[in-house]
Amino acid sequence: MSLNFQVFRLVGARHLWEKRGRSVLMTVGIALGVSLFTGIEMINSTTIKTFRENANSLAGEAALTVTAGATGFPEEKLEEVRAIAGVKYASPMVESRAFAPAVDGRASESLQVLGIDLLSEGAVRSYRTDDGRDIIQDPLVFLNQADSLILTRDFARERGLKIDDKITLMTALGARDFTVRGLLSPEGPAKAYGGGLAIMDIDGARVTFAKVGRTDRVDVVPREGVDAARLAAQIAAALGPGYQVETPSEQSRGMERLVNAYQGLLSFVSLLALFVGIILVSNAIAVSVSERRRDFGILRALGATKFGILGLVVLESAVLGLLGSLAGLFAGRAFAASLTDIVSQGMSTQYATAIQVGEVAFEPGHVWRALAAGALAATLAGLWPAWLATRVLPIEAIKSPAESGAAIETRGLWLRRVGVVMLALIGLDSLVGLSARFEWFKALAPALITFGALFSGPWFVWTALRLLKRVVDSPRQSGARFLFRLAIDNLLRNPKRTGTNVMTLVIGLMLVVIIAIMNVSLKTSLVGWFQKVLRADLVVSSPGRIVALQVQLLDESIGAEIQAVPGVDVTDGIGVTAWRFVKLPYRGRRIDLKAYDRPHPKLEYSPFDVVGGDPRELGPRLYAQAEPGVFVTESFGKAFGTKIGDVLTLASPTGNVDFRVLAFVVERASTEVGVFLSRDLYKRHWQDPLVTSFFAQAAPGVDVESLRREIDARVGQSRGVTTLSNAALRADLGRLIDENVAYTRAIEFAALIIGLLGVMNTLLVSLLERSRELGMMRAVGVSARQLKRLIATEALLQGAIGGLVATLLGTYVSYTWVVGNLSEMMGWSVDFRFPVARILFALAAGLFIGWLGGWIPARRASKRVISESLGYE
Amino acid sequence: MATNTVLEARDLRKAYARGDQKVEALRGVSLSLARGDFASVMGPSGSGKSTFMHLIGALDRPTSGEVLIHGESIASYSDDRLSAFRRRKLGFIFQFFNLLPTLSAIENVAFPLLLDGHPLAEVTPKARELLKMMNLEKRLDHRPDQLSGGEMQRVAIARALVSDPVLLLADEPTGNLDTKTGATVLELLATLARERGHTILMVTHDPKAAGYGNRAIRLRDGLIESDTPVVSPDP
Repeated sequence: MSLNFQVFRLVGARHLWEKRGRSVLMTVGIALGVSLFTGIEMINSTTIKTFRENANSLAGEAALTVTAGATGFPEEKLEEVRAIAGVKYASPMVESRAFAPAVDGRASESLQVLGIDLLSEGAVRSYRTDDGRDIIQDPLVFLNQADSLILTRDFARERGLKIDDKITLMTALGARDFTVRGLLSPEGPAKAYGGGLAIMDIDGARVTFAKVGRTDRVDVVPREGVDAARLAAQIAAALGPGYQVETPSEQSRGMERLVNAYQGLLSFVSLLALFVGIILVSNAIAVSVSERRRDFGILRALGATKFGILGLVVLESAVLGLLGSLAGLFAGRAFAASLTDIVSQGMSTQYATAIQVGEVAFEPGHVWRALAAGALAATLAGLWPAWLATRVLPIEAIKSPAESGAAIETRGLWLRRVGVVMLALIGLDSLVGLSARFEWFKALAPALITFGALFSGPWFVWTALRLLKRVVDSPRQSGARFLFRLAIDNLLRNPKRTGTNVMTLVIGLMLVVIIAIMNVSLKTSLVGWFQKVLRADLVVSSPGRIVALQVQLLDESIGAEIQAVPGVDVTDGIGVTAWRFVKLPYRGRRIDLKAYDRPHPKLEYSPFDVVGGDPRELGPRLYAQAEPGVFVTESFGKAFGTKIGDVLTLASPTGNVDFRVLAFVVERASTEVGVFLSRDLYKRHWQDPLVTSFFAQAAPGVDVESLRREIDARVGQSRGVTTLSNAALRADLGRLIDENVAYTRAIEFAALIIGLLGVMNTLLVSLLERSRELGMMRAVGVSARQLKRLIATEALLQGAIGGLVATLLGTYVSYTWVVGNLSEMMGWSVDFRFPVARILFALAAGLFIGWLGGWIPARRASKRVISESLGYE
Repeated sequence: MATNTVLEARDLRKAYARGDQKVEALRGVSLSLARGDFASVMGPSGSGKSTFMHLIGALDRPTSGEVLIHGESIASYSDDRLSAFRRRKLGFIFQFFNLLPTLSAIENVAFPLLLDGHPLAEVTPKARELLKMMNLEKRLDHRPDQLSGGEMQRVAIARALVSDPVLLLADEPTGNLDTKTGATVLELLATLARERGHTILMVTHDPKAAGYGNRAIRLRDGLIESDTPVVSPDP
């Protein structure tokens, strides 16, 4: 048979329509995997697009941008840039984050405030106000009053602001009032940061944001005919080390690498879900094939070739795949939209700057990739059942309907061994780091996990049943126990069929177990670590979310005000301390730099989780004046091959600085590599007095909560800062983690639903296979009720064993994977945790699904006319 | 072999493994059918008659021996070639009708030609003509679940004829029909053989059904016990 369209239309397409329910089940299975895969791809590309738009919007006419990390550089450097022959225009800018506090039910919002030089800005960027004016052409608007601020139209409308209205923003020096002098229409630079942008005069911004004498960036417009790359090299040479001279696309490329690394975990989960979807669909198609054995026998008897049968089933799968892809595409978009806030927050934390991911949009690339992924996944899913269909002999056509029935084809012993080998490879990966060495292995891991479980799972099921039988077997059993033993016997009689029934459930539940263990392990590791390193009684920062570093930088002088509050402990001259978090370029990466004041003596240098050493001994060395030293994270050591005792050279605005590596530290607050040093050293070389937050200890006998309220009252109002207790901080951390993994609940739910539908499907068909056997039981006197109970017991047993096997396999995979690859991905070691409550839920879900999945088949079997079951007319 | 010979079976043997034991379903069966023969194969349960039908119909392969249809030996055919052979040279009539449930009567009849790549529009007139011959012109668009047993079997006969097969194979064609309907079907088959020269091999357990043919072959224990002409084709 050539695989012609009309044969497919008459046989394949009609079958899909006739069995609409099952077709929908398979479509949903594909849609699940495709939606996650596509959603994550969409959020990735939207994030990258946001960065590109930001970079391009801000760049304006500039071909190059000069920066020196997040700390800025002395403003005198501007003249050095302008002095270079190829530079036509060079315009400085100060970039700062400010918070608009919560008002009238609106949450506080972060604004990116650009301080611009009116005299040179017009050559690089133009800003159009709503009334069509170019604000640069009317500089008096700005220069007359230092509190002038121009907002975007959208931001102002959301806050009900008009021209000449007042707006309070939290700045590095506390709350400041500004007057709205203009509203920008959404074009050019006003499109950056999702419209969360404000502009003011550069000198005013320097004062307001404690950046006097500093500039954050200089945008350069080259002279006509000057090559940008050559000019960049000239500028970099003139400025010296510590400066980056990049084109807008180079800037966004660095962010793209960050996005891809950050999304690694999401991508793994989506791949896992896609493979689970493939397996569930494959099982469903296999069940459909087994139901149609007779039809395939007829086709073969009429002259259809094996290849024709194969093509028919594969084409049916591909059609379902395309439909599933379309559904998955739209679901993926909704999923991506739900992730924008989480991703924005995560990116902002990682990049220490305000990032608001834009609206998720369909791009042609998303559409065809989703369609390809779904169709390909479904086609792959259909290959195995299609091969099974080709094995149906033409003789099946001769058999009576009762004889032919359905026979769920199953896999042989060799596949079981293959499955064990696959799972063993995952274990080996955790021991020797195959994923770290081979990128292709990392991509292969989700397939090894799911198919390894699928192939080897039936053996575990069989073993569990055998063990159970030994427990319940007794010569004097009667009544319910006998029924239970009969149910076990029935399942044991055909271990392959039982295994296949159960595996649909196992695969879905295994995903639930893996996600539960992964989430709890991550959360426990993070929260536990924070408890260890963050022991300060109180943390003072600008409004925002300090655990996500979504806060305004503050001037260090605020620390003295906090220390003056009665009840703040000062010991050995150390009272309120501060720290600064900043991102720095280092050997092609953006590393974390954390600069700490010497900690309060009560904290015993706890912020430094030194590896293999006592922080109380090594911590003081960080503050020794004799030789500048740093701690580096374990991941830093792995990434750059750095060892203790090595000299590390960091580029600063004042020149290259050498630091001796004193120790490795554990750092779980970030996935990036990091360096720890004293804040005095940092200030000396980076000349940056701003801090991320302050720490304060309560004096002996002082109630922490009372002190918190006192600091709020005395400093909070005037400086616009908030004070959090240690307990509140850790609680917020827990919430942050939960928010970041909330999307996995949707995956768990979907996996459970698909597992349920799959179990119901396979149980129905396996009962078809046994219809003669069940008819015989009824013929010899088993009542309908007893039969229903027997089948329900079998279903419950399969659900229970499915849950148990899923827990075992899921725990094994999670242990090997959590310990190995998740740690590698996060850059710090994740402690394995077994969430008893969530696992008990998975076991209960298995039982429930088994019971529910068997309910309809049990009813059908008990109502069937005996003679029909026996095959008589 | 005479040019009139449609089927020739030479020392056909078939053995099956049943656990540790070997069961010989056919132990050397040889016969030939000429054009227009309507032969019935009978025998008790386990005599090998179904196995014999499977081998002739290229639904199974013999352990040894040869099957020639119109002089063509199918012993060495690949699976694909056997499939094409069944499509073009044989017509099957099954006990349980075996119509495709999602196809209408006319589509079921046309199906073997569709498998061969002929467009539906091209084969529909022939299918319609065959159904008319079966007195089913008012049932063209009916699905199997809308047809009676007799009607389904007549659709199956039409399907078996659509590719002008050299040999029709009927496996208990009346096994699922009442006596009157069964007689109608048997009369139809007899007419096809007598008036149109179709060659028919029928497996049946019913001596009255065998009476419609011109030859009765009895199998026992995997061997031909008797092979006698049927004196009167009408019962």
